[in-house]
Amino acid sequence: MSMKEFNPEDISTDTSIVTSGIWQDGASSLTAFFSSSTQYTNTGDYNIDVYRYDPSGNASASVQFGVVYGHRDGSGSLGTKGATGDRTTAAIFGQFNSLINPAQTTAFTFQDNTTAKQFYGIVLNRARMRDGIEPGGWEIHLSGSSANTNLKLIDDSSVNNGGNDVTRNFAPEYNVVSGSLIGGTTIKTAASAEGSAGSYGTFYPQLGIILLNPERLSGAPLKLVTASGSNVDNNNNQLLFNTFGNSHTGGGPGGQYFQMRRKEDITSKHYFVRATSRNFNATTNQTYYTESIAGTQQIIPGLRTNPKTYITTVGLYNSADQLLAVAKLSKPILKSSSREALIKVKLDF
Amino acid sequence: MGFLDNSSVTVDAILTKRGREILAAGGDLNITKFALSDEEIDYTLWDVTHPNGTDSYGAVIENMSLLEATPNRKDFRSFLIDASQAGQTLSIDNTHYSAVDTGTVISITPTNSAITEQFIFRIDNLNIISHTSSTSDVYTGGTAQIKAGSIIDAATATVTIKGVTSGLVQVVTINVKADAGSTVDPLGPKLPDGAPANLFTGGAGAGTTYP
Repeated sequence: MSMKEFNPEDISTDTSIVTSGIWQDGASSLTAFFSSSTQYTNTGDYNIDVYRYDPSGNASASVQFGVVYGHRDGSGSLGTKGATGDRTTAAIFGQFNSLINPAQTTAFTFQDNTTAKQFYGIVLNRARMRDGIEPGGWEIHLSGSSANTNLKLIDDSSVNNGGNDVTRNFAPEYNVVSGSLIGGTTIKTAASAEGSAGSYGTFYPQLGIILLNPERLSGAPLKLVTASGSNVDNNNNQLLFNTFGNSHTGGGPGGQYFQMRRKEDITSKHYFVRATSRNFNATTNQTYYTESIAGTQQIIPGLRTNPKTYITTVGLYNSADQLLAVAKLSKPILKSSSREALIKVKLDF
Repeated sequence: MGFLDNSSVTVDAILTKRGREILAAGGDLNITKFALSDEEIDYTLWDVTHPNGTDSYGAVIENMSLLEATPNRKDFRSFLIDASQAGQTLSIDNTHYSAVDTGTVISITPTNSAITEQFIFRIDNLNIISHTSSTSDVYTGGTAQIKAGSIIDAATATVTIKGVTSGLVQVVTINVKADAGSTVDPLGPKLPDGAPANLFTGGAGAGTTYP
């Protein structure tokens, strides 16, 4: 027989968590941030696509994440109710509100601030994040245009096990807090200690979304002033984008740092392929034979008295003899009646 | 004191197109058996005159790097089998049919030189040819009836024949003529396994039976 049945003990399944750098080329940190003038011209009033490489000079540059600003009343964008204008910030607010919050919710909650009608959003590219973001695996540095405005943000998953006990459409929800992962996770100020302006934001690892609270960002140290004019495009998402790339000599390094890892659950099935001593010691490979005058195939000299074969490929079949998976070895494995081969074939889903 | 090597070889498998189709349809792969192949091995490279002795007879084969697996596979060209089956041959009257008219039925009856067995007939492109007795790309039996389809351009498809017991493999290529009345692109999206085959019921040459 050319095919052999698996025994039940030859098949096992396991699920493992794999984390890796989320940014282009597998990098886990970004130190430069670029936007596309083409994208900004077309849809920049909704979101700014952020790149690791300059898209104007690097054809392989791909979108890493997007930056948005949302306001319940549409402030900071063109248009009002009953007038022309896309009211982009209102559209963004409604989009995120309906996605994250339960029905009838009209404001976001950032710890003690339960009436937040505006937010900044950092939205990870889906293809980059795959299954989700690793909680406790990201850190972003923001900086204003002047010295001593540096702010390092992380999530509080290290102390907030299981996330916030709140009603949301997605769980877990973690708070965004000041702190750093470098040298071990250190939270500078807990979300509950931030006061009435609320925490720095919330983080949804399953969605790949970080919401930032403009009311808290307006305070020290960042002092980011979010404009909220009526029927005027204030480019607030550009304001936040600028805090990624600002740098200055006073007060240490500025922004220019965004570390993040993605997290995937990989289910693997292992098939233990056992080529026992008595099996698989001949082949249908035509180079294995010479044809005699009588038409009967003879094994080539040298292998005729002591048959040996080589394994290069394993095929996995279902009961209908359909080839469903193929595994190739890096080098041929010698097989003979005095040798057995055990090959573990791993199939990931 | 040294340690014995207790490791097994671990390799990553990729799904074939058929495997992906099953997963996409929400099915279970339900892998139940395996086969070993020695594709890419040329046993004439076994060198019994190697100056380093018997251990090195297979050095040329053992040191080669193998090609990566590709998903577009339905079977292998050669299989490892048990020693008792060595030397069996698979005979087919004709391994190539040229300029076949639409609707023509080709009969393929392989024979094993040593045993009586069933064969798996696997078509690689159902746009070009199909089984008369099955809408699937696979038919298992002693004889296969292959019908040329109606296609807008002339094209060639293959039927891979594998002995169920012996694992012996032969490939038959069938070149089908263009049919002026057809709108089917032979190299267009493949009909999924089990879909109604593209069969033409009339026209010149329809109904001719080979051989």
